[in-house]
Amino acid sequence: MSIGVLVALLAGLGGLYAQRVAALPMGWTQARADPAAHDGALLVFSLYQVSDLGPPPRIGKVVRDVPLVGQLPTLEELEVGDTVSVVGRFRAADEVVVVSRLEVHRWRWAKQVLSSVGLLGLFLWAVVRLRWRDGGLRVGRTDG
Amino acid sequence: MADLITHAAVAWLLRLRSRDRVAVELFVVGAVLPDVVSRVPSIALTSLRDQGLPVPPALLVGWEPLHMPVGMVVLSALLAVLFAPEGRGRAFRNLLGGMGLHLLVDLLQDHMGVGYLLGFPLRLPSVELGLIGPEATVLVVPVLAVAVALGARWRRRRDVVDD
Repeated sequence: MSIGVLVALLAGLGGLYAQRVAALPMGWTQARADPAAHDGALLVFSLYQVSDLGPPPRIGKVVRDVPLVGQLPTLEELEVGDTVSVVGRFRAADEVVVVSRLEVHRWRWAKQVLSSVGLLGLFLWAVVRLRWRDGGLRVGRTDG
Repeated sequence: MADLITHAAVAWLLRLRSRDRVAVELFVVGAVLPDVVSRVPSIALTSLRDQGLPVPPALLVGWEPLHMPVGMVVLSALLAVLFAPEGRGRAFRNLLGGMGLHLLVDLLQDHMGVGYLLGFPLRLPSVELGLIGPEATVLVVPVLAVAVALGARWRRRRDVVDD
């Protein structure tokens, strides 16, 4: 299969996925678009970042500025930039998420550091080990 | 996603007995690629969007299939085509094998039910085993580092004996 066909396939998969996400029946964007129809809808925000302490505190990632309310003690321990996962229900009256579960990912920074090191390692490997020779990629001097 | 060091170390340890160094390298690369090609562009573009640049929403989420089986197969094929003809089969097998291992490790995690769409583009439910937290692998890295050091030592000795 040619490179062009494979790239087109990947682009098509990406486009289809984005289309499906936009058409999801449940989600923050959908709830905001039609609050009354989504009152009480269960919403999950996995690995979102705290963008504002409020009140109410707000989180964001692909969608932004999602306001959270609730009596969870961890809400008072939040800092802007913290990564959190939240489960809650949409409240149409004031368009907020009433949190039923909130988890602060305290080790997220360590994971990001380790992944950055891994990314650097991959880059160095590619520079040191990959060569274009005789019409194709080869790994190291002895490959092929 | 587990961190990239965990993905790389688990992949390397799994292929510790292999004598084909290039195959092992490609397997390890395959094990880190799904996050590199799906998460990195998405994070970078989201950051640009947050700074006020007009980034279409599709470009924020459209990378996700590269972290799914169907995208992994196509990406492995695309990368393998770039290799010299005699190395394409090995490149495809090892890149795809590493990517499959990546997915298995990620499936262990708990994202509050937001799992991985293994069946995409079919409309099947998402899957996750929910056995460990998303950052649990960070605490395993020191153990993996010791295991990799011991594995590298064993491998050097084996190669000396072979010579």
